[in-house]
Amino acid sequence: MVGKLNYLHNRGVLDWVIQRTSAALLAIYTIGMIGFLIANPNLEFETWRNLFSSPLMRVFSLVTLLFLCGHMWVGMWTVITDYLTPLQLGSYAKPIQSLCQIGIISLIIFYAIWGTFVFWSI
Amino acid sequence: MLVSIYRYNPETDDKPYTQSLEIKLPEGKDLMVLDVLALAKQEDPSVAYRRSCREGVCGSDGMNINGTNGLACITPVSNVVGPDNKLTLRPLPGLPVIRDLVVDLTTFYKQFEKVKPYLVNDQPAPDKERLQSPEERKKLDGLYECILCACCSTSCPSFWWNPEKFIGPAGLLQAYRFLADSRDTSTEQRLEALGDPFSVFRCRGIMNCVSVCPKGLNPTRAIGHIKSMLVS
Repeated sequence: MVGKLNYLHNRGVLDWVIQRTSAALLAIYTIGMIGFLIANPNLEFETWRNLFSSPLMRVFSLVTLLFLCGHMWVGMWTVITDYLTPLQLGSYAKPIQSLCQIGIISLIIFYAIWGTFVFWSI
Repeated sequence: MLVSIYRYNPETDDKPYTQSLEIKLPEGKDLMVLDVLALAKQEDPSVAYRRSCREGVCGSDGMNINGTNGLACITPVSNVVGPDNKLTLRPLPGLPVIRDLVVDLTTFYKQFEKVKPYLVNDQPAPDKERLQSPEERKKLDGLYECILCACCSTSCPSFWWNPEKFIGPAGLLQAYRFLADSRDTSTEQRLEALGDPFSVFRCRGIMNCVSVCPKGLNPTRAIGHIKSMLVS
């Protein structure tokens, strides 16, 4: 479905592509993890550690984390601009939207740094 | 039959209220909602509503009938009234009320205007007409029939939330009608104008527009085609 992406410079198209590709990657990661847990019913710390200490898994996990952050941002930005509009909040809408966006960006940056630290420290 | 009608005259009323009228319907006939409104107007001549062709062509009498948007002139009472034999009529949701069942469609038309709902062709005009093959013409079926009654856009939550930014199903159906037209040469410009996060991408595929369209059209499918064109 996704082709040459001639219109990717448009914010709406970019957001849409981020949301869809990240959703697909998150689904693959989740299914992979569920498969791993099913394949290892008596999971021990060593097995868990071995999985995440392989460079491939580390990179895959970090890329998934990055896509999760993108997914979160697009989703939350959409929710904010759907529900916190001048129709509901009048002239307070813009400052409240900005405040929420700053809060969400801070939280996403915190999650990204924390997640990277967790994956890299295994 | 008990008919409840949304009443509001901004010049005289502080807030809207519901007026209930007991209307006696002729026996053995399945009237249209518009006929019931005409009977209600005989009871109270101050009830205001739009109507014109009374056969589902002009799109004037779009309103909320027992909770669902539709055209009063082609909606049989038997289709919308339950065992309680009650008919509730409200204006189309999400737009300012001018009076009673008459809404201000300015925002709706502004969004329609944004999609340039006319053929753009930068090639020299031919002597007679710009020809299309039967296959090319067929692509416009299900798109050109829209009568702009606004039933779809006013049933769409995305349009309620961002009426100034989201074009809405009616406008987007027309946007695709010209994107799909083999005679139009401004496809690129049209798509560039639709690439922001609001114009098209606020459609969440809820499909209220499809379920209320009195002409049986499918704006969600057209919006899907626009999204596909934007990512191809």
